[in-house]
Amino acid sequence: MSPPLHPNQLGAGDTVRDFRIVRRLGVGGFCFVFLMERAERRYSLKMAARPAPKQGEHEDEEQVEAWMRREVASMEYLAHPNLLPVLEWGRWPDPETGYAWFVTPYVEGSTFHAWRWRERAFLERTVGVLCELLKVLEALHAQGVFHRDLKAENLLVRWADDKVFLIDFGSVHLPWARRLTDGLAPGTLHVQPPEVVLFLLSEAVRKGSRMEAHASADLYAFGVLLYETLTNCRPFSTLLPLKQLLLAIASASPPDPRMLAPEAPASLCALALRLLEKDPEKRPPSALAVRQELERLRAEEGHTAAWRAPARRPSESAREWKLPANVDLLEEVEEEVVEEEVVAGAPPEPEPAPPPAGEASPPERAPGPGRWPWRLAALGFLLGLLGVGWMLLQFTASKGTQSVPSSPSAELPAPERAPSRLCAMLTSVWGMAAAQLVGCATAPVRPDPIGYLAGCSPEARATPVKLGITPDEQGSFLKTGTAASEQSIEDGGSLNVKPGPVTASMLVEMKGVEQYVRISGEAMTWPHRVYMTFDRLHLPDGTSLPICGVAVDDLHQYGIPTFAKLPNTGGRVDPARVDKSPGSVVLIHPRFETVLQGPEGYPVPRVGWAPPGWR
Amino acid sequence: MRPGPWLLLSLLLSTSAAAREGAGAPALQRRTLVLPSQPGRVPPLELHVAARVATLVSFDSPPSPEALEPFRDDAPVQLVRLADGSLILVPSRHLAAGEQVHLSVSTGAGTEPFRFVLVTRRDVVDLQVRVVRAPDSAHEQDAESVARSLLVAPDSRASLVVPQVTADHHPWATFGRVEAVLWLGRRFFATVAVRSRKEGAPPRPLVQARLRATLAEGELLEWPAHLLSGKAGSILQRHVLMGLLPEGASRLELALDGEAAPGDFHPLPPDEEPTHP
Repeated sequence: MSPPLHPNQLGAGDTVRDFRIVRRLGVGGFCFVFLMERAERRYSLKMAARPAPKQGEHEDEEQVEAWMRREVASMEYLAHPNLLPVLEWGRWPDPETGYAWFVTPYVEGSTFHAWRWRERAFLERTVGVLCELLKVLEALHAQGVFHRDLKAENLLVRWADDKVFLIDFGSVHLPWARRLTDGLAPGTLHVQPPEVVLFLLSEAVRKGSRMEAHASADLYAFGVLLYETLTNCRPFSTLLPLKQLLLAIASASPPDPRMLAPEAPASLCALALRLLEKDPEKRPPSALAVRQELERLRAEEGHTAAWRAPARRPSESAREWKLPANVDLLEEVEEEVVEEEVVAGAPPEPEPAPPPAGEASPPERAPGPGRWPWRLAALGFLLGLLGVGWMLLQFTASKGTQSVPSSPSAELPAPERAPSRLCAMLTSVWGMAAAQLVGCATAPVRPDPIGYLAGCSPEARATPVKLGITPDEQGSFLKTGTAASEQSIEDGGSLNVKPGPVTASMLVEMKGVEQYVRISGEAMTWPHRVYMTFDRLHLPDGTSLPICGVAVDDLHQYGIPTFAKLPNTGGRVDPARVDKSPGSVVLIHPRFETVLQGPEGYPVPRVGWAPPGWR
Repeated sequence: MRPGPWLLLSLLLSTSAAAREGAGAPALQRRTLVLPSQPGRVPPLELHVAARVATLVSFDSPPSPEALEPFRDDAPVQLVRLADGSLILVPSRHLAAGEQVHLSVSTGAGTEPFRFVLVTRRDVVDLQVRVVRAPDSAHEQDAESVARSLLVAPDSRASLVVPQVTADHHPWATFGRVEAVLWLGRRFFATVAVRSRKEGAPPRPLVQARLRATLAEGELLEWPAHLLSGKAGSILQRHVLMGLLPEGASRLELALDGEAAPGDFHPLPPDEEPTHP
């Protein structure tokens, strides 16, 4: 077997220099993160997804290289007890041309929100952690360094002592690195302050002007963090279309936190809103000022019931506070079992610094969780470790855990009238295309993929989790049909499809490893679209499991457009090979995407209906 | 002796008239082509020529005469060099479907030559082509934060304008699709997914995205988009391209180029609300 040449091929047991990979922790758009072991100690390794750029290389290779360099440079420059130092760095597999990587200590903990939910942390204790975070910001800002991507996913809180670590310095502004870091803050969109959004909207960028980095932007992001802590909601809904979200950040006021969390202390709510002021001048002047105010409030009010309330999970907030349906609740990350990491091996200490004055009081364990949560250790934290956070977790968060409705969506147009028996029979046997051919067009029985997913059995919902399938739109290739051109279906050629049983090959990432599996189900043809549902997944070993899957097109819409609707797409169709029998339609190629239903909380990609003329 | 302006004038007058003969004649067009930053990595720029129609090609960095790679004697295109470095191309006949004439122009040592390919199309013919170098694109990098977020935020893409018919397919079992377009004033971001339609075959890389805008008086401006590419997956790779619609431009189109496989232009949807139901 040939040695791995790409980070995607690295797996347990492989080595990078003298570090042995325990397992892959996560993958983002631009990097991979691995849990490593050396001499019985554990580390985290972040590796770029692109090799070193060659001369004249594509810009994105250079950009990934720049982010990695910036992160390493930041960590080497910014020594602080609450930052993770870079212990070693290099390139793999070739020391000169390979993929850049660096190693930091491995921390047992969770990302910020996951930590406070897991610990059921009192608000008073949580604010103590936030005060420690502010000390980091004070130190950074004093050196002219601005993080520019401050958010919960980029904060790790160590379980043992509540020590917080700020990670992901890929977006950082360093005072000496103007070429790399000037311009718009390259952080996560929904935590961008209004002045950055306005800068973009104003098109000032076209004149070559640059967005200056300021501490006020980090303070705004801290305001978002505090707002989320108080309410479990985002101040501006990421459920909005992106453009509306940007406009809301630029122009609208966030809802008063007390509307979303009636029990939240008024003092903290007021501070959160001041941090979220549109005008940077109206925000508190510095991280130090915010910390002093928080510490004062904590000292004065920390004993009150509101401050001694354990953290609620978002689902509990929604239930107990009866939140409106359109509120953007935080993602309740389902933490993955990583028992081996927790049980085995003591993690290296990032920095054995004594607790500074004003340290959060020793963590009192709120009643509730016993030892079981640590078994559901923080996937969010693990993935967020070393900065993959904003890439990977934003992906997860933006997908949301769109629980499929228990009943068919209101979006779905209900059948206007009951079809005649003949039409019903034609539809069920030959598909809608055939039914319409014989005059059943006024009696449509619309496919109901949403209802199909909503009615999925618990056994079928469990399969994706049982197999460790990464939630996504899964690339799939139809295997049923006849070629509609000289090019074979296997080579991606056009094909005739009839209603009835179908099989397809689906590429999934199963426990971190990509592989093809076979799926089977039913196709329903329509003149403009083919709808498919899948109910069985067949593993290479011959076993099969129940699933609920539906076919979607390359625009995240239910069904796949037919050649009749989308003829000018570059593919070839030979009229002599077109099946003209009732119900048969032509697809321009066998590729489509499959969306699998999972149990509650399993992220389901957002899928919609094609416009009326395309259904 | 170099041909003077009189030759240019007579050629343009005579051939323009020829080109307009009869109904269904190809449309004459004036274009400004912005050179790619790395010409060797992308397909050569296409020039649309037609029989007996003179195409004037001018450069902002005129080539030295000796740097011009000459046509063969039997080439179907006559090439005339003007004193200012401009070229006039006059085909003696229409180039057949699939027939290409390559033209390479160097502007000096140490620089990659400009590469062109001459083809005949039924619908258009270039009357005048201005070839310019790309301006400093440093300001484009400022918009990369949005592009990066779009790459990793699929639901944001799904909520943007989704053009149902903006698709551009490459050969070799790969196809590209514009998934979403975000407009912020005149600045735009388009998310493009390049997929393999053959099981087990990785998608062909997208080496360039070209934009075309229609300027005042009908002139076309074509320039390479600033492209940010996501991780190359086994059967899918996403890219976000970004650009700024020129002042007064009325139409924006996009072409996706594979290696040695230039794509056709397709319109991008204008700045409007999502059309999804």
